[in-house]
Amino acid sequence: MRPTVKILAAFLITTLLSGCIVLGKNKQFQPFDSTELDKLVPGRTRAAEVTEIFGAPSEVVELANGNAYVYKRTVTKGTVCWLVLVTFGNAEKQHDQLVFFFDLNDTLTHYGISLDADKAKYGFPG
Amino acid sequence: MDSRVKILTMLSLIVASFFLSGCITYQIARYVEGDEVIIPNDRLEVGKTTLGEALSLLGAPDRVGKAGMEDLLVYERALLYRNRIKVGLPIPLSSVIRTSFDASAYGTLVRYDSLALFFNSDRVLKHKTFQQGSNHPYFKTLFSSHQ
Repeated sequence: MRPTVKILAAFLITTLLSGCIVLGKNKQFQPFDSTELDKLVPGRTRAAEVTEIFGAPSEVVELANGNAYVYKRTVTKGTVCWLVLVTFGNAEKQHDQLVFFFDLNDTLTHYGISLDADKAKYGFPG
Repeated sequence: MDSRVKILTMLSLIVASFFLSGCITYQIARYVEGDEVIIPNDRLEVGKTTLGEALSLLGAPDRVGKAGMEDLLVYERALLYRNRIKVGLPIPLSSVIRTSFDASAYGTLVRYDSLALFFNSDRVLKHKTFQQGSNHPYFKTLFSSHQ
């Protein structure tokens, strides 16, 4: 390979690969503790007891047969990579969520839990 | 003479790469919200499955609401894809010359995988529906005439 071609190739590669990368994380925190769920007894626990244990809900939703209290926290992880010709951006938002269902007398009937916030990850668009 | 040409070529390349870097850029962006929606179809039976069973199978819903006399649970994952191509000078020349050139085109597509469960007043599954938006390919869906 001629020296000029080598220089040109090296120049082209360094130019095309020059860039930067940014990693970011956002967290919407709510300090509920899912291990406290053991204290709840559907059919007996009242809405007031739930708020005493878990604090104020993120959202209260009126249902046809009662109410639902929603507790939510989210984690978002973002990756941006700038190259000369191409830019890659990726963001993933996952959440932990607790939903309590109450009947019309404010007694807990059911609850559901999803803990997915740890699944948020950095990466490139696939 | 030969060495002067080489030096000039090198200088031209440096100047060109300085001014033209970012001249044509292609951006690929992806945004995901929510975990994958997996439907245990064989374990979600209309008229049989209770709210408690659905919650233990699928976890907490992403949204809850009221639909008439029924309670609605929605499990959802949103996927956003954006492609953008931009042609233009990265360094604004308007202070030097009065002409400027900048053009870009982009396409953004948000697709949803959504499972909706409707429960009656006895909190038994009355109706369910699932839409898998992520199955639709990016370019074909974006440029399709369907809304």
